[in-house]
Amino acid sequence: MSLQQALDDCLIDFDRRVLVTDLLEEYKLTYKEAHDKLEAHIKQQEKSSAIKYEKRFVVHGTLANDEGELYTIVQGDDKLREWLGKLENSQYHLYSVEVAGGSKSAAPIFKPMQHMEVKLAKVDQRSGVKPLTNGVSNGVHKPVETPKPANIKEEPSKAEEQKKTPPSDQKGKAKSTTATAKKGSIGSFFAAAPAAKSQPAKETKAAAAKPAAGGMDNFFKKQPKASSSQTSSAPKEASPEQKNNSVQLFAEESEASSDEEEKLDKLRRSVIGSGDESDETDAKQRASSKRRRIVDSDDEEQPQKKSAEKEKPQQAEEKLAQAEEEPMDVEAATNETFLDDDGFVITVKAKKPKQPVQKKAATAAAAPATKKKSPPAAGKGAKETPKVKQGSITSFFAKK
Amino acid sequence: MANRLSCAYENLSSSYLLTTTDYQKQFCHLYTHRLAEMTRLLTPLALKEWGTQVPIMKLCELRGEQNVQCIIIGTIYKHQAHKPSILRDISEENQLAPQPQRQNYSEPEDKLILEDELQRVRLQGGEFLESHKLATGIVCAVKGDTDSEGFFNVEKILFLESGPQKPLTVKLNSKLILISGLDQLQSHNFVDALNMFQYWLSGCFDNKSEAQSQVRLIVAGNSVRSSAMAHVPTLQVARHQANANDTVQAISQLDSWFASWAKAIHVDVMPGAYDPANFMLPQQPFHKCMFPLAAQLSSFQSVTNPYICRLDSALVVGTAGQNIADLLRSTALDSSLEALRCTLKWGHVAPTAPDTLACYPYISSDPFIMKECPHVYFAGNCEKFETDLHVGSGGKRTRLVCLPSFSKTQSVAVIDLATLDCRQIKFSVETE
Repeated sequence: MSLQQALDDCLIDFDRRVLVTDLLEEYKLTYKEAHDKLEAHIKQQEKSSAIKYEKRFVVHGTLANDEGELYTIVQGDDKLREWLGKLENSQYHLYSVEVAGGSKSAAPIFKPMQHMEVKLAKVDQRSGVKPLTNGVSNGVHKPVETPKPANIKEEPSKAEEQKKTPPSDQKGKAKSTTATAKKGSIGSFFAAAPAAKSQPAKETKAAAAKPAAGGMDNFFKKQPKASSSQTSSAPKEASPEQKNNSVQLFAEESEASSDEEEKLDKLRRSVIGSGDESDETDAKQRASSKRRRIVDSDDEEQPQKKSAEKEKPQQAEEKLAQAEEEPMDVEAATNETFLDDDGFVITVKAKKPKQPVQKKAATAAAAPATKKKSPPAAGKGAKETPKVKQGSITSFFAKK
Repeated sequence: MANRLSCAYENLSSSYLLTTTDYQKQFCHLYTHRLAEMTRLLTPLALKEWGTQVPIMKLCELRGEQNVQCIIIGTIYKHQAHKPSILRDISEENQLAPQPQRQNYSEPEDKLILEDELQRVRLQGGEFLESHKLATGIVCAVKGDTDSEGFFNVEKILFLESGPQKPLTVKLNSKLILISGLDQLQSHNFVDALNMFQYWLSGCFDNKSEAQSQVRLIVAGNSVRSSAMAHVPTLQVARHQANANDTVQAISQLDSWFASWAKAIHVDVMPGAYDPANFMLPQQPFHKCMFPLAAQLSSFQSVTNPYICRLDSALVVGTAGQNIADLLRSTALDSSLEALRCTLKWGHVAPTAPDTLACYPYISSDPFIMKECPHVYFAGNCEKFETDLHVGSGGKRTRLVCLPSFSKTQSVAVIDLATLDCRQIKFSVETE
């Protein structure tokens, strides 16, 4: 709505002191435009009705005796004329208007200006500075960082959890050093919250448009909504990829697919030895579903590729096992494998008697549930991964 | 909407940023370094001024000889009977009621003493030595001779005059705005003036072309409050309880002001004597958490007090006014402008520190020595607006500006960096 329209429709209450500067902010006008419109309106009002207005003016001019320039606020036309005579090169503008003897007290609220006629050409936002996060807030804090392009590979038919991964997280992980992984972990933690809630896809776009700095905001906004399983993921290594761990692990698995995976499958089958049909089909289904997820999260798996190429078969087997087992069984599983001199995974025979029993029990009891619970289970798997690496490397050197 | 002129900017205040905070050290190191550094700078000047015929000597080299004409470089110590002394306060506290602190403790009977590394000598010199205008901590070279009574009769005195000055090559029309004493806690008294100021800053009052040429705004201290806190019954507890919330609110309001202004112009905020910052000079920049909104903008920065920056080629040096206020207390200088001029001549921003002005106990340097003569030299929170173009030796031109507190006078200073012209802009409300 324009100022003229607002004046015509009597939407501006002159019972209270109306500042021209407030009108600038409201109607995005230059001071001159606001002044002209308001002055014309007041003159018209004074002519047509008996309303008297109390006007204040900003008078600008140069003081005598070279004492500098003066901007002063004077009240009434008489004072205005007096000051216009006093100052050299004087000019004036309306500053405020109110109905003479207005019923409401003049209580203008002065606000920091938002409308300015001369601006800095470029004002960068400092990326490092974030709003206070420790419970202190003194206003509305918008995230600072510039939004990153939303170049997530999204396959419309794929799982929603992939969509909910913020683009910044994915990028960060692509470059993952340990530190970045940790940073990303916070992001993924926050992102995991909405995942639990399964928000619509448009949420993803909003997240992409908003800066990554919103991470902390998201934290405060979304943490309460997150499921209890997420809140329990406190340790710093566990929280990192709470959300994406599953994806990452599966990603590795996909790398280990084809020949190696088949070998592992065979190996596993031989270990289990029972030839349980249902178990095998389940495993295949899982593997295929996992592979499908991996495709979505190419970016995230890269660091792992580099760092742990040798462990892939090993990890693949572990994760398969983990997907089927309860988390408590993980340790037993990890103990039984190592790399031989040629870099192949060898399963320790001593483990054989344990595994079948556990697996059977696990699969029998929780076969339907394992699929749903796969992300947390995978998260555990991620926790264990370093240990496995360590063990395998040391054994590798020991053998050498 | 128009854009503001851009201007090369360099913050040269890094020497004022404290990297360590060790308050256990004695202040003698500071004086030692001041003397050593300024002796190094003054020696060639003295030789140039007085030639090599008169030798530069140490006091110990005189060995009590009389009528030996020489040059001595040393630090002035002004013996003042009424100078505040913590030792005297302690010794007298059980016997006498505490005496109110004097606003000015300079007396005609004050004695001037010159100290070098090892010894001291009493100075006398009549018209050559305007003792009432000198203060403790000034390093100077004096030419004269000794007499039988152990006095050093000063014939001439030489100061550093703030070192050499780089030539000024500034783009046309670049202007610097200086403001001090925003005193947000009392801003309800001058809110119209503040409102006018911000719209003037953004070029709304038909001053668009002028606003475009303004490149930077320096807020020279006392933005939160501009006077000591009101007396409270007990010192610590009551003060915190009564004023903490007000202060936090004031800073929050300032934050929104600065965030708004920083969209229109580059804003540098210095801490002042009464701001919630460290007490000792150099005062460190406000932490960015104090201004969460403004600090997000690259055009806003908190800076040290004293503050040094270069805008294009113009060197700008300024303080929030503590150095000038303290100098006015210990000397008979009659105006802030004269005090400011003296510090420029003496080549030291705060000569009375650490004697009567609190400063950090530096042990390896004295960052307050002015090694390069500034083009603009200002002090905030003065009584009134004063300005002068000081022309020093060798044609060095420095614009001296004493900024009044905005809360008292509602005025700011605008300095043309090309011509060093300065004028005051007032924002007032005519009372009926």
